[in-house]
Amino acid sequence: MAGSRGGSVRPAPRRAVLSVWGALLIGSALLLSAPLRAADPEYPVKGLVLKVDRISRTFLVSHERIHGFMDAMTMPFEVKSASELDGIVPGATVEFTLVVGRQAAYATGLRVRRYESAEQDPSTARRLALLKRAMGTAVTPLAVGQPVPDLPLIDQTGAPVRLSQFGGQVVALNFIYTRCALPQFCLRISNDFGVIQRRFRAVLGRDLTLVTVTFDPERDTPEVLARYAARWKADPRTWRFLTGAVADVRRMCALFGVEFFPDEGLMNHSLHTVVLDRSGRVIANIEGNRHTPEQLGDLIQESLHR
Amino acid sequence: MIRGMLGKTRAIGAVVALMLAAAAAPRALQPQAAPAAGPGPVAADIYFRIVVVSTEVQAQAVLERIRKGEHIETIATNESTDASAGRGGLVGPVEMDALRPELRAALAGLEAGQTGPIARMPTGFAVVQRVAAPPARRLGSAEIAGLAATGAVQPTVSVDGFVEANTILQEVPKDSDDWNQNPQEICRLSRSSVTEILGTMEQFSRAADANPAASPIDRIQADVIVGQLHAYSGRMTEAIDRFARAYPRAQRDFPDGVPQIEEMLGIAYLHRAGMTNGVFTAPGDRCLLSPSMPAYGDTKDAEQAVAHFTRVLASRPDDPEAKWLLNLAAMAAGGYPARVPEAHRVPPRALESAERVGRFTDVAAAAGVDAFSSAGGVVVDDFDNDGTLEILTSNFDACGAMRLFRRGPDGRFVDRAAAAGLSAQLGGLNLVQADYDNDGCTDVLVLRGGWQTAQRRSLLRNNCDGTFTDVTVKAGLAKPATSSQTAVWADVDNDGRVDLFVGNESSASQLFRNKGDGTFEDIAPSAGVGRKAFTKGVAAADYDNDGDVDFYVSNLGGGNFLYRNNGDRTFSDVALDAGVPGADLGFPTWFFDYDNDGWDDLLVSSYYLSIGETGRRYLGLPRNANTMKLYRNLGNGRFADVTAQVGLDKAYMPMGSNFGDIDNDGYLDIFLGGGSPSYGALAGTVLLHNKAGQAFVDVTASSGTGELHKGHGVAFADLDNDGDQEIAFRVGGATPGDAHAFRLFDNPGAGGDWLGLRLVGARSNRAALGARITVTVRTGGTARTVHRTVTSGGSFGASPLQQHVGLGPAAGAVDVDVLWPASGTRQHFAGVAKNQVLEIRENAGTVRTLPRPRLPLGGAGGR
Repeated sequence: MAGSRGGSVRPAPRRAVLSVWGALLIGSALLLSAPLRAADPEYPVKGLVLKVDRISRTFLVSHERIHGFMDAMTMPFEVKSASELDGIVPGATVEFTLVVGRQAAYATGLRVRRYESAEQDPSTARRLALLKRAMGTAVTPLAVGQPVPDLPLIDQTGAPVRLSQFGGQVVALNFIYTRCALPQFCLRISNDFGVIQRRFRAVLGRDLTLVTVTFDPERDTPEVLARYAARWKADPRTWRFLTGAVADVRRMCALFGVEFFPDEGLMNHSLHTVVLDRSGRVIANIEGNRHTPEQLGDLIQESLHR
Repeated sequence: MIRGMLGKTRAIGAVVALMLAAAAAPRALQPQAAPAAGPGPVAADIYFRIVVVSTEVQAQAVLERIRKGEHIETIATNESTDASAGRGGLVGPVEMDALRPELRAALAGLEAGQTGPIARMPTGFAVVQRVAAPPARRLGSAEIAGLAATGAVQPTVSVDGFVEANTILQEVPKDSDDWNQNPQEICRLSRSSVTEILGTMEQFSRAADANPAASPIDRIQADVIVGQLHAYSGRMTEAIDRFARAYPRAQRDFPDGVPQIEEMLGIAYLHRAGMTNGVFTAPGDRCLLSPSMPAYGDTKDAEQAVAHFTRVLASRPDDPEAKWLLNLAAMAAGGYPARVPEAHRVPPRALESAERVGRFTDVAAAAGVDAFSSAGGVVVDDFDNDGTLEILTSNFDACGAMRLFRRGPDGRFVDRAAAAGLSAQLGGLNLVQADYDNDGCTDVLVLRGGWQTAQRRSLLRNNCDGTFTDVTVKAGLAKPATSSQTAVWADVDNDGRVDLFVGNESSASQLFRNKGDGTFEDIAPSAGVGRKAFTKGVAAADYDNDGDVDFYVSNLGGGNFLYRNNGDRTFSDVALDAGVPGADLGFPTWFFDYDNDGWDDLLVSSYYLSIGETGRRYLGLPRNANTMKLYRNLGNGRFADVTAQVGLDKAYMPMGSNFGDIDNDGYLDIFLGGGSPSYGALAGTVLLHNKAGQAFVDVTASSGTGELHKGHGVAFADLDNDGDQEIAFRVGGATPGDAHAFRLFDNPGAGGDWLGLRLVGARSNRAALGARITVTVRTGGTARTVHRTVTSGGSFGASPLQQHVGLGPAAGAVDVDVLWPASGTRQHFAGVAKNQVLEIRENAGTVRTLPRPRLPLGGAGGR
């Protein structure tokens, strides 16, 4: 297999990471071995972008199963012109057509599929975010590559935490509130980190720290967060659940476009999972709940080897 | 599971039960059991292991590996995305009923060791294997959160603009940090900001329409926001226009969003149908749920609603919310049941009551109290000590005024709020009364900011001359402002002065000690009760009969507190030890002795905001929501969960609610208002008759009290002095566009003797809050006792502090015992006459009969 993930669901605690070039070479070899046909076969592909390299006109994707062609895995793809990569950033969900030619394979029709959900929580949050935009009170979130300002927060043990203290490590962040009632939202992205915690056990605390931030600091006190964290047996040294002063938490959420609006005691909110590089800059900001924990893991894996 | 089936069978009759058995075949495989005669049915506990993976392909691979002999425990530990991975995927013991429908289906019929088919869940694809019962502790609902049925509760589609208006109020710039200290300023800002931002949004929408580069989803959402803000103010025609504009855009650019907009249109038409036909202002029987609810005069909009809900069901044929709304729209259009397709029809029998308690009559209009307003609180009490009861209401609308209904010369109620000095008291979702200064006149606390941002509360001192003075600032209760809709008065240290426990939504609870000089100090931190939670209900009682008052705190999001009074102005939370963790979405709560054994029991409601769950109840489908809890006090510091045993294990969505004795049998009945801000949240009121402390039977339809619209403050009171309790009900929703006429349900007179008891404290607080009453009735050769504690009832709606005690039919000799809280004094009065109101003073040797003028309400029941 060319990619870094096999088709099975066997554990891959530390999967081999190939350089883009290396992967591309093996990938091309694989593509070349595709049976020859009269017309170049085309396959629709969907996946999460892990890395973009304009110079080599390639982008690395943790893609879903390509029906009739290959299982889900991490693969680099080439485009014919670098301009096709405009607007493509790590963390984006993309769709494109893979054309398997006789000499080479390439991606075409590359487009970002923005997270749009008709489900009540995310769609209401999106609507209210638009309302804020119209009112002029919206804050523009950080773009990929921008450094994250430091904010004083506290973790589930009551210890003060600033993101800067994780300098030198990759940091993965997500945002939840513990009373979140629907399993496909907060719980799902918390489960993601449960999987990440398992997959990256060997490097957690050394090369990688997980951070879950509540956007309900008034009720999600350190004690409440500690109880929530226990569901995933989260090690408080390597998976921090953060709360803090309302204003600081609000600012923290605004940095990443996390929208939340109280509604009848619960929250309408957006979902974001963010990866920061070792120098505290944004690598990727994934919106929504449509990525798999494997894809998120692949993004983190890639980020560790930057 | 078994008890769920039996409960429904009892409620909706055999025909539906047969339907149910056919529809829910996997569940019917469960062994049928006879109704449990003893304490509680057997729980259908199961154990299983689960692996959740991201894709169906992965799940198939897992199944294959299990088939080849790999252990599911290992696979779960290493690969499951579910939080149960940490336990090798083990789940249990849990009740089958507590699990998501997809899991119930996958587990159905499996023996230990057998693996089920792949279950597609919102969190991924699950493979389950039934296992034999290992020794394990019961898992909490949080531990199975991703697998729990509660996660399958369907949110209600919103048409109300409530979150939009709240967001605007939160975001809009404020002139001063103290804006929320002044009800006039809160009103001004609430109104002006919505108007202004509606204009801004209309402009934004026009700009987006004109800009080819604008996101098509933004265009749709802008239409929806504008529509919602119109709906907020009740401009349904404009709301419908906007939703109708968004509809074809969604068809083109966002097909996933079409069913939601379709349903929004249905809800908007149904709401306009009610407005056009005067259903909200002069409801009559048109929104009282029954199989023969009268159709509206003009059915055009109701027909439109039917068409939209029918189309929602074409794309989502199993949607219980759309089914319920289709049935209601068909009733309004005069097409129920005949024109509702059988697959979607709520069987008429499901709307009937199993028994009759007499039909109440809404006499609000005749009595002059049919005030049209939004949600609010209600207190019924005798504020001017003239022997007749007044009705005091608050208004959730930030610009809505309080109303104080006093009897006028012609017997009709007249709003005397202005004369009483209450004109400036705008807003307020709830009210609680007490005589905090022991001057013999009942004072009132107005609670504001519930479901919203922090706002100042108001303490209104009764000047004993028909007027009130706002003494909040002087009393030390003004700052900090909090978001609160619940508080309870109780004398925590038995010093004869009532203290005040306030539950807050976004800050710690407060316990204000009454210093006796008109001021209060918050002792919550030192008392150990200053904990943060989204508190929606607080109740007080001496549950352990040790002579000091304890508190129960009901939180939306669970983790409720039972604060046992340590007798030294400190409290210990013993909720878990006492067995009263509560419902996971707690709302109103109260102590009452439902079985008359002398130990106050505890009811904790559960507020799942889902009309889908209401639909499921009437359609006879299994519920996904957790239910309210009735905890029976065992008299040893612990409680038993008897919810299922007494038939209360059903999914209601109660807001305002209270208890009283509708038939004077001495057993306290339950009235639950229902709903949420959405105009489609037509959950309906429920009246549950207490059958001698053994069971609660739904008598909603037969009693004529099943108001479909939003139910807030509820009080039980004998307003016409004819010896039975009326139900005073602040109907009305969360927004100006969902106002409704007040309901006053006159009791038809269910027979049975009674006794009114007005207690006056001397060393104990003057209003006698917390005093314990035992009435012993001898009928023939048998004696039975009725127990009451002086309170205003539940946490959302306040009945008079004068206690109404039903004695049952043909009561013989009646003895009254009173235990006073501060002094511990006991009084015994033997052989008192029944069917009268007595005044009992602390330490006085005799009782006084109070005058009881007949005050007809203008209805059939006012004999």
